[in-house]
Amino acid sequence: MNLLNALIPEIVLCLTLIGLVITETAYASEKYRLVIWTALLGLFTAGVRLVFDYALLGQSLYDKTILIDGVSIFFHFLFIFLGVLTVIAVSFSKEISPSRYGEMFIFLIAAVLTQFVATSAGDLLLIFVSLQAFVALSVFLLGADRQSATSAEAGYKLLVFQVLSSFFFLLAAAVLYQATRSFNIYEIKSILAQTPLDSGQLLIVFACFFSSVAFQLGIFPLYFWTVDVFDGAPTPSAAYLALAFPMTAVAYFLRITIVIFAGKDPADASHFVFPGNWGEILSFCAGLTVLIGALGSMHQKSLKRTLSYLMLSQMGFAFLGVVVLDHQSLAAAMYHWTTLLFSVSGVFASYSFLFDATQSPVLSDFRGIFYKRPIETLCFIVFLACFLGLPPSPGYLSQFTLLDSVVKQHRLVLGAASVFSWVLWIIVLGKITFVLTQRTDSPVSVSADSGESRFRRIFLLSLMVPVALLICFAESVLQWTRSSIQWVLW
Amino acid sequence: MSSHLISLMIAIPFLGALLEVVTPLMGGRSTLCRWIAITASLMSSLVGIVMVSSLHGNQPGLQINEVFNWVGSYAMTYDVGLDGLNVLFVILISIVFPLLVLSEWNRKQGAPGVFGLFLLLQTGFLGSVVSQDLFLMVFFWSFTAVPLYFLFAVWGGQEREASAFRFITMSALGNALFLMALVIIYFSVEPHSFSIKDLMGDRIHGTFDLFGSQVPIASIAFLLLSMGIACRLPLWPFHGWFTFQATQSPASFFVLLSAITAPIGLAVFARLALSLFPAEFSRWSHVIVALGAINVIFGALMAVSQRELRLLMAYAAMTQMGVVLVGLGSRDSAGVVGAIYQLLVQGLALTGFGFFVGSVRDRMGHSAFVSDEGKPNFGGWVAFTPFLALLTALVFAGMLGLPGLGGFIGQSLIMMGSYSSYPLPMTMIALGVFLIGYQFFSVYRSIFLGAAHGSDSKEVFDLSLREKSLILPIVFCLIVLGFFPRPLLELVRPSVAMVLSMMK
Repeated sequence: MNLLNALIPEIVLCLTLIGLVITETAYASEKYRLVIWTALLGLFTAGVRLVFDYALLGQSLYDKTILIDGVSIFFHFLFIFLGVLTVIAVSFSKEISPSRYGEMFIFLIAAVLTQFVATSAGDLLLIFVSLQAFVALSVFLLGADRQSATSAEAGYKLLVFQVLSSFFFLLAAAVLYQATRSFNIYEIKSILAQTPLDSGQLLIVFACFFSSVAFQLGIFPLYFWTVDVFDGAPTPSAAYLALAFPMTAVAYFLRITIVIFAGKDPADASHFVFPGNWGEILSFCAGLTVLIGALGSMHQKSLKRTLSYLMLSQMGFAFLGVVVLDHQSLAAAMYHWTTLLFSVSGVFASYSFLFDATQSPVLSDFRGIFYKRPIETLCFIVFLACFLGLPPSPGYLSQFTLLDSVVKQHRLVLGAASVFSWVLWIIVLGKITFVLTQRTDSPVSVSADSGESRFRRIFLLSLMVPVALLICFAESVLQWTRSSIQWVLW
Repeated sequence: MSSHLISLMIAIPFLGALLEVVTPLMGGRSTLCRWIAITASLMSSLVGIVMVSSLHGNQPGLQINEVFNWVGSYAMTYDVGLDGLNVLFVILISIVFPLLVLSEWNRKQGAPGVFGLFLLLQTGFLGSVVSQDLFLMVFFWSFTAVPLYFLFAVWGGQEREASAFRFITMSALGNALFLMALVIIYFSVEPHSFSIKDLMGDRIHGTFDLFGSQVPIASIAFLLLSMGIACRLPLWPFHGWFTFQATQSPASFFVLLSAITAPIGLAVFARLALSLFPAEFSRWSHVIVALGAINVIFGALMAVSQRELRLLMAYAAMTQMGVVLVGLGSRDSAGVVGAIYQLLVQGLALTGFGFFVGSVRDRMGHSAFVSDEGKPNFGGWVAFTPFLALLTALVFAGMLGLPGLGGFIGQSLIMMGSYSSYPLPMTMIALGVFLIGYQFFSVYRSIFLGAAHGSDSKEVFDLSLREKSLILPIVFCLIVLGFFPRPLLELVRPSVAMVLSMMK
């Protein structure tokens, strides 16, 4: 009974999947609306049930194979929110045909389910299997628009690079298994405490884990797939995967790193240290990712590609929290993820609506769209400002908290690179904003306003509510993230 | 006096801006937009003036203060308060912003956007001056660059793309430097704090290893802070974006830069530099005075060679900034009080000047008072526009510091405070003021006096009721500040004496 109780959110998601399949096949006339509501209801119910998981904090299932801790519940909440926002964005987007809603939502709910498993798994093999499933589902999500060559290409690119990522993960797991005869991270930790890995093995294991995560996060030097994939995918899928991949990767990397590899800093009990020089290497990679993303975004002609580069830069920034690896930085990173969830969803949703009007991703084709679609454009600019950390948005606060952690650990070059990138982001924001709001003699031609536009605008404006709450109640959110991170140590 | 009033003063324009956002959903009528804007702006101003009038003279420190915890784990508090160092800027914002809304009253295109951004700026600038928490101050100050950018980029002149790009680049750089200073300050004190009260009086210690030599952290933070603010001000050698903006912005938008951003930026600098870095401020005061003197001479020389009123206004603003810097750098009570007083006068006078430039452009379509061939474009306007001529003369006199107007008090105090320590810069200031005065008289003569030419009474008409209501309050304030400076000086002096005592 207790076992079932702990898995109710996952069971709800499974039931939702069954419901979606039945709806898709049985209710031909009403299926478009029904699949949307079925998916939303399933995610909402799972989200509500998640609240009760806090009563089970610290418990585990199947001999610590599934862990119920603050980190897993925190990320489960983010996945639920992301799923809900994606369902709404898909249902408003014209990039995905309504006839594809059913399969799209089935893949989406299944992907959320695999993310649930990946982030609460304490077993390397289970993490690997769930990641494989997640990658396969993501490929289908990216290739949702099968008529589009770019969408299909994005799907293939993702498949190829994620297979590489999985290979590295499996290699690391295999080396660890060979040394400890276990896949459970807690057992591995206790065995390694008695018989540590030699330096060669440690190098291989950590390098492989990092490569696996770097592929998923899009961290230097394994970042090159991200921009092409986000650029080619249908916008709602790109928004989902831009957040889902890094969040999942960070969640399991955090768990594996802290439990297996990180030692406590003798000078500061709240601070962990990476083995060998990995702290410096990861700092270098994160810093370069921030810079490459910021510099790359400055010279793009496509608005979506610009957003993709900015996303890459933000991934590097978000990774700073993991690089610093203390309680405060991890809590700050999780706050940053919460902020990114709403700002990135807002940016991509409003971009999708603007793209529907222009049918072109080229930045110059959006010239003066502010005068044709004022609310959507305004929302796009506001969410982008939040995404890039302009005051008074929560993005500014979350970036400050991360910067604070970086400086606290005396990584001043990394801090300076981040601030420099921030300047570049603001310049890019200025450039984009100027084009969108530019008056021109040959105004942009946009498609007619549809009846759905009002609901789209309400959706975008309502998305600003959580953004405003994140800045007003920043302390409460930070407390939540801090208490969540405590549990990964139990 | 309820401490909630201060938050109310900041929040009302923000709520007005939110209402402006939803006006397109209600049909986007410009009448509704402007009434929302003027109501919100005036209500905030009224609250500000009520609070200022309740303050007591000869009392240092915060007289109205509201504090609550915001992000406790990072020691960030919502701490806002009124004291002698910021009271004059609350007055400046309270007077200028309703007038700016009024100046755009007849705007048909983009009314919700313009008015909404004005209101956001009112919130941002009020927040910047009343913040008693460093993070909150940087938060509001950095935020003000965003609405300004939109105003310049969307409703600017022919080359608004280039001018807005220059503006946002310099602003982003300035804000980033300011942010770095903030982080350094935060980490240099134990326990970490953003509270200006906690950080006052050389609390920032320690050294930083820079290429093998030990540099005091306070020096780095002070330089970053100064550079960060300077990037957003019309200060030599960072002024290129400012003068370019002058040629591309409508007059009311440029007023926001020259009469609001510049004085508020220096006010933020004065508060932080004097309170947080007294030792560093003393060490760098000669540089500050030298920079001020260079600004005065450079601005005056450039102003003399201008043929366009907007550029004249820009260089006059630079000159005034230089005068204020010399006053601040004097570290003398009279000089610093004079500098703060002069910032208020300068803000008001430049607003009046901006409205005058706007009036000329409304009538003639341009503001070049001398043609490319060197001949006057206008002349003899006094016959058609006696009221404009009178009010313009008073605004010019206010800027030049003629007796009976606010500028006289401010500039006199600066001279009294600075002459004994810095005679050479004071001589340069006198020369600069003389050059600017010469140019102002030339402009006045070429537009208003002499034989009428280049225009006739049909196109050149006197001020309308709306235009009078823009310039009259400014002139009235300049006269009041000239004849009755004492109440305001008594509010400023104790706070200045308090921060200067930390230096000595």
